Amino acid sequence: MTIAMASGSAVAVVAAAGIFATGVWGVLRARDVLRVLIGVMLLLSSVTLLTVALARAQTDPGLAAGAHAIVLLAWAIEVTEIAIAIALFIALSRRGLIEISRMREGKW
Amino acid sequence: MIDPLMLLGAIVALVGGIGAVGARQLMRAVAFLTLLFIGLAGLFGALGAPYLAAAQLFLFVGGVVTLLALAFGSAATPVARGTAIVTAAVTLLGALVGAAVLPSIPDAGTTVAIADLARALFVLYGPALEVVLLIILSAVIGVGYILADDQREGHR
Repeated sequence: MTIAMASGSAVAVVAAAGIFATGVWGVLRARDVLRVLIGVMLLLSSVTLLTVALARAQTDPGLAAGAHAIVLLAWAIEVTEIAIAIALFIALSRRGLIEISRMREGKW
Repeated sequence: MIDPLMLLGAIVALVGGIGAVGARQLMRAVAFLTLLFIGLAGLFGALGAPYLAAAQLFLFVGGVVTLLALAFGSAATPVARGTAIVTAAVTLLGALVGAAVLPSIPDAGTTVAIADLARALFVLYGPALEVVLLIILSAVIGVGYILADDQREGHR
């Protein structure tokens, strides 16, 4: 935190904390699949923002580039996860099982 | 001294995040999500990573939000489907304009050279990249299987 503040990216760190808290709130209060997905996207976005903010504090350009590469890899995984979640959302919506409380009614 | 672009990006991102979680209508939540991603792109630009900002706009605003809007449109009423398609088109246009404009913002100085990033991605994290590509391939096959299975169930 001190390193990030020294590098002038304290605002980004605070924003990342706020977005993470909002994401946790969103996941906990969600009643359908898409809202859970939105909450998880907020959580992942806050982590990538924190990674980039902390990378700015690095004096070694190689380490900062490594952090940015990790962000790109995390995005690839995140987008894959979203594609699967949307496919599941479409499949569940056709069977009328979008609400989390009704998901147990679905067959394996 | 706080960078005004960073402050603006943080405010837009926080408003977008709170709106995405708090909105009652799903379509509005997706619209607020767009705001969150645009704010995050501004923050990445202010943090000296304009290419990450452009990628954020292309991948998330141009890709994910459009996909979410269309998926919601396919599951909703015909009236909501029209709104979803209009939202998707506007979002895609906003992403393209934003990605074209953002790298030319004067304050968004680059701290990481593209060559360093490429070296890290393809040399240092080369094996991780290959694993990620395998995961993407299996996900594409899995999504095709889920939707094909769903269509078979629908025909029965």
